[in-house]
Amino acid sequence: MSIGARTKRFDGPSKVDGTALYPGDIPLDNPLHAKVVFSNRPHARMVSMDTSSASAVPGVVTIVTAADVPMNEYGLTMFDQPVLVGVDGTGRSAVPSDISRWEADQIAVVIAESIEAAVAGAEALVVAWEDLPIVPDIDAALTGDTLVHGYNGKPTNVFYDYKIRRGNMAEGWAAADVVVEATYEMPHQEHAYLQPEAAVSYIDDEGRVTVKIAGQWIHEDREQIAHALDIPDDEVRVIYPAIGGAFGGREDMTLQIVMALAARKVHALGIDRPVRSVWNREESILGHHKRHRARVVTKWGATFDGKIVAVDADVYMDAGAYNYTSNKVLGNFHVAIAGPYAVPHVRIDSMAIYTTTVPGGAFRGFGAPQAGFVCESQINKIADALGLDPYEVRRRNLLGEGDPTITARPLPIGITMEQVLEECATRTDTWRESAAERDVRPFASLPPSDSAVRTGTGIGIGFKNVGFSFGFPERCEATIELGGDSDEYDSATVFHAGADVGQGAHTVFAQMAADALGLPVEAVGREMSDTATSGDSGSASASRLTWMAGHAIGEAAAVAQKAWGDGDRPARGHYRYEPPSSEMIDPDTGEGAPFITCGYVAEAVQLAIDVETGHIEILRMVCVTDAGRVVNPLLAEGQIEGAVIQALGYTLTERLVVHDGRITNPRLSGYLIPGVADIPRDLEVVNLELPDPQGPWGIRGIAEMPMIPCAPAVIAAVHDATGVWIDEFPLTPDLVRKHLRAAGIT
Amino acid sequence: MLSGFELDLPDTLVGVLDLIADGRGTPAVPLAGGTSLIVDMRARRTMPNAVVWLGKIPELRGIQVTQDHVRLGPCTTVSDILNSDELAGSGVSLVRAAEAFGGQMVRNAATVAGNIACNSPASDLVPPLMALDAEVILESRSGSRTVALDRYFTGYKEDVRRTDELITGISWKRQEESSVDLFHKLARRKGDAITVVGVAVNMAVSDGTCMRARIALGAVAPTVLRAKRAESMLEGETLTPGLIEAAARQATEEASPIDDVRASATYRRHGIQVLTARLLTQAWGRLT
Amino acid sequence: MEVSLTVNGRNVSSDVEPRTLLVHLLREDLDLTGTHVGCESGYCGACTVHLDGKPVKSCTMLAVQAEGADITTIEGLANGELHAVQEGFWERHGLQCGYCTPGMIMSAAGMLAENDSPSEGEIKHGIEGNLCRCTGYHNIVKAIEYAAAKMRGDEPAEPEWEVSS
Repeated sequence: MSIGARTKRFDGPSKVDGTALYPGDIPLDNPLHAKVVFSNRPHARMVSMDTSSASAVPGVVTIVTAADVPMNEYGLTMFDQPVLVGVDGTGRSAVPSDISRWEADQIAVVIAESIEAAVAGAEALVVAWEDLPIVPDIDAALTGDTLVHGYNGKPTNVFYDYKIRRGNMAEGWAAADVVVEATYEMPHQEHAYLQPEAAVSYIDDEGRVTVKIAGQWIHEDREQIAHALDIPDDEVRVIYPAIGGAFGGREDMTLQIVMALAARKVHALGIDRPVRSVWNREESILGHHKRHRARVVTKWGATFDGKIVAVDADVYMDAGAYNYTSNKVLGNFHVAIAGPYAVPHVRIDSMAIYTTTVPGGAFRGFGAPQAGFVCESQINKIADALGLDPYEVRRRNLLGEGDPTITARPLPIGITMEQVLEECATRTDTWRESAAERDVRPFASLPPSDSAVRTGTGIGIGFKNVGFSFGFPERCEATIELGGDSDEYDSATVFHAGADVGQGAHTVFAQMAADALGLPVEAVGREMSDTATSGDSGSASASRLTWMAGHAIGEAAAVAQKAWGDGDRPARGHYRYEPPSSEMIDPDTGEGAPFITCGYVAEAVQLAIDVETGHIEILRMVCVTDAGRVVNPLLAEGQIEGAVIQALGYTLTERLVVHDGRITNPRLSGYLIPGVADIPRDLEVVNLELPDPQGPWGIRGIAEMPMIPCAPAVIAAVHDATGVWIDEFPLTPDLVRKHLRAAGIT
Repeated sequence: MLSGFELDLPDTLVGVLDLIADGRGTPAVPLAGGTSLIVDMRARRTMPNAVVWLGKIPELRGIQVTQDHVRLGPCTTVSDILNSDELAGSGVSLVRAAEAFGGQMVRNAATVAGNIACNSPASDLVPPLMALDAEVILESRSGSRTVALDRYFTGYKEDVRRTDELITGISWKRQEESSVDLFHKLARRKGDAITVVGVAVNMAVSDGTCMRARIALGAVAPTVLRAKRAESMLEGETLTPGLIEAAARQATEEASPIDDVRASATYRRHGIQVLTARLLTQAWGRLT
Repeated sequence: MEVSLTVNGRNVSSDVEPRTLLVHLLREDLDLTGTHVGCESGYCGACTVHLDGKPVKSCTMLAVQAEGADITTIEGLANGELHAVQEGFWERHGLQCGYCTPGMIMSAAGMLAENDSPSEGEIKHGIEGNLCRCTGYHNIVKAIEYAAAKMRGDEPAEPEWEVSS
């Protein structure tokens, strides 16, 4: 059968021979070139913009400004951002559009005959600004001295919050034999997908404003474009060509709306030519959102036998200039603070806070990695304080089927946290064998200093909801068309909108369809990622796509088979899958069942640290996940390995510097993602494949889970090696030395 | 996108010297591999009006090892250094620096003269060359001169080279057998990362006495520099752990590191101490 | 100014500005868009091509620096059938989004041309100038090991699949 087969990805040949076309590679007949102009002002009011000099630059064709945006607002879950900041807006916007709240707020699109002319036009724009006070971080925002979105009537920069009130805190503290308190700081993370943003736009044969771009949800892109252009959805077409990585970073809008505006304006001038825009790396890093930086002040109580009895936490999440998906990220962050543990007494207040910095938004894990860092660091500290084995302390607190979580409802059925934890314990059993016995020589290139090199181990575990949650409407559509000349069909075509961001979704769709139809996978054709040919799939995010698409494809196959049996030719089956809905949690108590289903993960790390240089080398790492039944192990393992290394980057090397509202290292030379030399010597990826009772074929989800427990596992290993707890990261040599020095290790 | 410039591709050294002397009314900037200059031009850190490419003159590239000396042509690439059997015996620290230099593609293009002329304090090749007492040969239409590498840099992004001069060679004396030269760098990633602290050590020992000590420090001051007072603490002495620690501490005093996006001054100072002590210990251990 | 070079075995002449980078000559004038631009600063390796057989980054070179040279891009690597490295990346799933892949393959092919029996450490040293954000590199190393075996005329070892279900 096709499910469980190591099918090689269908787009492999085109990606190894250079013929795959990413948005910047698409051949165009006589294209125009667009340069998107950033405000370059973290916080300022635009006084005026004079485009006359720019328009006069030879080769400049036209300039798109706020005046060209019918509805000058966007936002995936709330309209709080102007499409283009400008003074001559239409006034139809929920948000004042003359204020730049972020250095990469967009102010104009210069369209020209050449890239050079577009850049020259951009440089010739004359813009007058009145600078407003910069709100550089959470601390400044919480004073409330300067309001980033003062028009919204709230006297504070806190714009979204959640609560949990469970049990009785006084009782909790009274029952606690040990209390662990800490303040954790989590850094920004940049997606650093290798393909910087690029797009092509034009008016297609049917008069639709068409945008070819790399994104994660074509129908959401279409909806946002249609809203800003104030036209019906079906007058907009979005197509995804090859996508050069995403990781959540393409979930929001970058070039989508402005390139649609560009195509329309060019067309209105009677020019029938496509427009192309390609961002460089600096524009990419400055111009799209990041994983949220955050601070959590927390205090946990536990009994001598390791039972957690109280969790108290305040979560401060820097949303940056606009909401993006911050309200949703905050929800995940909030309910994951106590991890997969049962806790009777809980108080948590979580808030999303506006600052005039780069927006926070979706990034693999969606709030869970930040929560996981807090939770797993706390439980590791409790184990340490009580002299308990870190596996054992977890066993004593794990949520089982039916156990109420901190939101007073159980996790969705099919909880496998315990099996995942035990598998990780078994896999690391052999780690008692010391590094020396294995003839491991860390830091081999460094002149030796045996006394400086220490080794340690650590673990972390976690879970992640699969699918949109907190009541956000879920859906996934699929269409299947069967073909064949005889009584039995012998081929099929799957029509699906789901984005193949590199994870191999399109190959997996074909495998699922083949399995459902009893066809060889080679007999399944694919029509993918075009709003003109497929229904809404929802996004490639939230570890949801295989789960949701599996339901939709399985049902569409049945409908198509019935149509075939009924004699329809071609026999088509369409299905819109809507899972059982999730709940928004109660605003006062936090009670509710926000999730549909979950995946589980445990990670263990053995590392060496040179306490004099602060350098860390990961010697061994085990990642145990339960992704449920795996459609394609070849793809699944690759995705998990990639997530683990991305998590190690988050933990060790990736440091985005944001100073006075500006990113000062928007380059891959200063923002360091892991290279091949940084990967662990041994990485073991284990997938338990315990079927999800609700999943199609028993599938759960894969994409995000390995991102969650890495940082706390590494930090526990550093503690094991040095006796020092570090409550912040990335663990650059400099930061490690700062903490070791403070602890008297010279 | 780079801003515009005039470009020449002379095929003789004389042609280059004419052009950089004022060939088109403005002195041309020499271009070798381009791995630094073109990145700087793209970032508008430098915007030359005229550029002269050296790649048409094969004799500018090559490694000559005679009985007494090693001489590198200015367009010798980092890969050439890494692949040289001869340098493996008379410039080990330079080969080590070449190994830690960028990635394969950058090593295939970047040149030794380019790595000097770009004037980066974080240069990887300069610390080992400086510790080897290398000299830079500068030629212009009016003649040639030789400058010790440790006198070549005069300040941040400043050096003694006049715009009409071209680096035409780098040379050093082959080391006696009773000597060791070492290099190590600390960076924030294992491969292809800009140096946070680089230290090169060159030591000669005779009869249990340190006869020569050279310590060159990278990325911890406006230029690569030698820790000369630390060196002088070692020469003529029998090294002990205490003396090595003291010299390493002295080396930190001679540096003037700054905070930047890669590391704090505090970390850099500490890194000098650790690397210098370890390299000196290793060198002394090998020679005694 | 006029630049003449050989690209994928074909003689090419083009009139370029001095400031034209090699990568732009390849992508824009010759439509060889398999050579990708990821940073335009020499840090990511997506633009790697071979210049006289050696991997270089085409984003930090002027087109004119390739005058008279023999350039091979990802489109020129296959010779009727996929090159062993290309085959390895597909067989061993050494790619996900695929954007870094052409550069990664060109680096690997350049390294293997000089050393067809690289150790794991040598493979890593060969591709440390190429960044990948999707795979975590493990399968890339396996893909290159597969290619090395093929190029030596050996049968690539069956991988030890990590899954244990």
